[in-house]
Amino acid sequence: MPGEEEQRRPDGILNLGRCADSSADRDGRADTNADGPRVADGARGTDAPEGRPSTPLVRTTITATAAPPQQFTGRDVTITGRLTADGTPVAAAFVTLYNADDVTELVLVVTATTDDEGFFQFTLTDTVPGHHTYVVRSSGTAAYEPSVSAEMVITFVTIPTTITATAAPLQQSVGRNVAITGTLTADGTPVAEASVTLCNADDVKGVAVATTATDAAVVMDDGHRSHTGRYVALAVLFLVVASLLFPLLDGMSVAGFFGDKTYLVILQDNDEIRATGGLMDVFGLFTVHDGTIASLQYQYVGSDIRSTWNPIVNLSGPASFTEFFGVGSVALSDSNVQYDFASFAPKMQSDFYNATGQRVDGIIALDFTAVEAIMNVTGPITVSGEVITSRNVVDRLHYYSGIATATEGGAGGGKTLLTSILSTLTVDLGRLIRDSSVQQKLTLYSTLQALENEGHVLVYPNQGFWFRSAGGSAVGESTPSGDDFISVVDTTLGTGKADFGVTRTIDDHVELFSDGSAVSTLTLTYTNGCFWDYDVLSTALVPPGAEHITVQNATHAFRGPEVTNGDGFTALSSRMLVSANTTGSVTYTYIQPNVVSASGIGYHYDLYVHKQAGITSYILNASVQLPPGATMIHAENVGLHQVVDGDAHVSVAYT
Amino acid sequence: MNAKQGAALAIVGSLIVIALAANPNWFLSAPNANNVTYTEPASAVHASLGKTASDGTIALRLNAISDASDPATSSAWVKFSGESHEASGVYNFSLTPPPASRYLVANVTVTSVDHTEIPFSYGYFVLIARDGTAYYANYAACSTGCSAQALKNRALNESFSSDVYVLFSVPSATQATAIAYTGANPPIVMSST
Repeated sequence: MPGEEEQRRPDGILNLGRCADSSADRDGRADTNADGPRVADGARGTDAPEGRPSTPLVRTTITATAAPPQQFTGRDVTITGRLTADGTPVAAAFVTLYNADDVTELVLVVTATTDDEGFFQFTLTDTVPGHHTYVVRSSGTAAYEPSVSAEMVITFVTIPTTITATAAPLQQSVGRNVAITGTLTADGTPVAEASVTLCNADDVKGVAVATTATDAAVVMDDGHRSHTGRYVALAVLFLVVASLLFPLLDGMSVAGFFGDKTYLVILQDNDEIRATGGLMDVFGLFTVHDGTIASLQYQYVGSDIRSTWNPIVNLSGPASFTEFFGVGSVALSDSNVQYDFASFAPKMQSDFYNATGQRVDGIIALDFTAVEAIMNVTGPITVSGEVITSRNVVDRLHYYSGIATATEGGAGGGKTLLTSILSTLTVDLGRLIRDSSVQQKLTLYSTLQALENEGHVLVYPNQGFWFRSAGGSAVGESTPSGDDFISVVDTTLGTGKADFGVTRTIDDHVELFSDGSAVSTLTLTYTNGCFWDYDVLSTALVPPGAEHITVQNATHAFRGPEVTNGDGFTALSSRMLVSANTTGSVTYTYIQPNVVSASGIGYHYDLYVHKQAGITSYILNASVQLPPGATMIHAENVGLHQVVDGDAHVSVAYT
Repeated sequence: MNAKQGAALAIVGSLIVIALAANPNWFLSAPNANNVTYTEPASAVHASLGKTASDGTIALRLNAISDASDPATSSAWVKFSGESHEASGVYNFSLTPPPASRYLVANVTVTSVDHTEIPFSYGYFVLIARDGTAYYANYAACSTGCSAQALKNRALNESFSSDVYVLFSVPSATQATAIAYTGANPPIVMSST
């Protein structure tokens, strides 16, 4: 959003985004901070408390010292201090550490609370050599004035290294190998994955003979040793741990603390919408060991590219797909046709094992929208000299996907660029997790949580805490038994890539009867804003036992409906061609025998609308007609033109 | 439970405490780390609107910058996007911008002035806004012959010369002051006036 963006400073410190409840910013007023330099937005609210009493405030004093003031990069510096008021400790007060390198704009680092004696403590690390200035501020309270400490300058220096090397044997025949081994240490600690060069010192200038890297490295897909594994490990550890906080032991197990775990990562192109989010473009495989990545590999897959990772596999349904298209087998990258991720993922797990011999413990899928949202946090990346930002990443991924072919070569092809972007993004994500402030970590955490809730990140197996929304859970299992539900699942097959240019509207009118039955009239409308036709297989999943009565359509071409019964649902499927810049629709009418429940004082009707993974949003029009003579007690999410980016729950209670 | 598992549990526990203690409004305000600027090197080659500039291998001329909603621009985009799709396999690109955004399309004449094949990518184009913010290209379209080289192969042969339409997604109120091509050496900066 314009005006709600943060800026990355040259030194890598992020000026934090403004708080969502900062009405002063929304009103566009200037940021005033009378008692000091301008404070980064994330720190507002602590420096300008509102509603102070008119009685005089007690002056406070804050002291702070850093120990040691000079430290090696990557090692901790502790800042301790005390907050007092006229010599008396101030307990349970918020104190905030700011980076004051730029005196005109302090940058929030971390916040702490004073203890009973007024003492507080922060711990800092930095990975880049340099000098940094910090201050600690107290925001004050209703009784105490704000105060600020004297500036502290902390210097981070690189750790001095020592290298040892021995040759064996020292005398060797011509043409035979001599092994030269050694150790690189920094302040006594081995340094892993560092480049070391063997030089011929016959000439004092030294001539490079060979270069290698110290061990304890992770071998990446391209065979190069890299720090990437460690950074990726942190990223995935954070994703997995943050996403699986409960149950704790399950989360620990998933992160590989109780034995290595291997996961298959799927990047889905949601421009070509599929049942579980989008066309599968890239597969990744990583193994987690004690919360760190032991191996990582990305590979481009496409419908027309045959490889060990992308064989032809048989489809076991759903019936409405296989019968409609007459397709019984497809490329593995095209096989996500099940109606939900929880049904698709186990088959993917099995098919991948049959193709590669590689067992995976779980599957993580994310779409381009997820990549865009993550880049909103990580910032731009540069790949092959091209700058990728959150504003263009989706379109660039589409482009690279479009030009990727089975035979392309060189470093500039779409396959290479696709996997390079993912690798770079993963590294940046890991770096951010490692180096960022608590607030930035939480921002990323909340971003991942929101992405899961909206079906842009899917994880199997479902751990039962965060991953419980539509797309991640089986449709039949995610709705309370006896309640009404609608899950619209669209599929395009390469000729109708248009998801971002198509607006979906779900219009559901339910007429309730006194015997608990209902007649539902469900209209699905697609407004195609693209300059090409939208060819879509549209499926509406409704409760089992629904009896289909009629279907009507208003499209350029139409085939259907196909009515099939699945495990816990009835599927109503139609294939429609919505011409360029036009609107097409299909209307189903069906009877449900019993969708009303009795409550203590009357009756209630609940409708759960599940958003398809991958799509960004839909419009919901929901109306409920009560039985004759009934009186409404409560209604929720009943109405027109509701723009929804997740699941919706429509609820009505009546007597 | 060994020490390693204990330490990991402590980490998880800390995350829980932090998450629960944090004000939801505070950490739900996702920042946007994508405001970037383009720092033009002193050696950059400049040209005004309608004038050609070159680094010795590629010559560029900015013909126009217009909103994608402009009928003529839209018409040209639909035509060339279709040709690009047919010729190079790149996706069609709809001209419906995201909320609070607009699409600006730069019409640039690209000519190879080298005697060998030279690398090219529309990803090197950057739109510079009046406030200095840089917006890197989202997509491009051009004629059938152009697409096979410039979009599919990302390289221009000796005789290449074609108009390329480069699309930028920018905030609604954004006005362009220049288009830079960072793939040239030195970079080529073309003013919008």
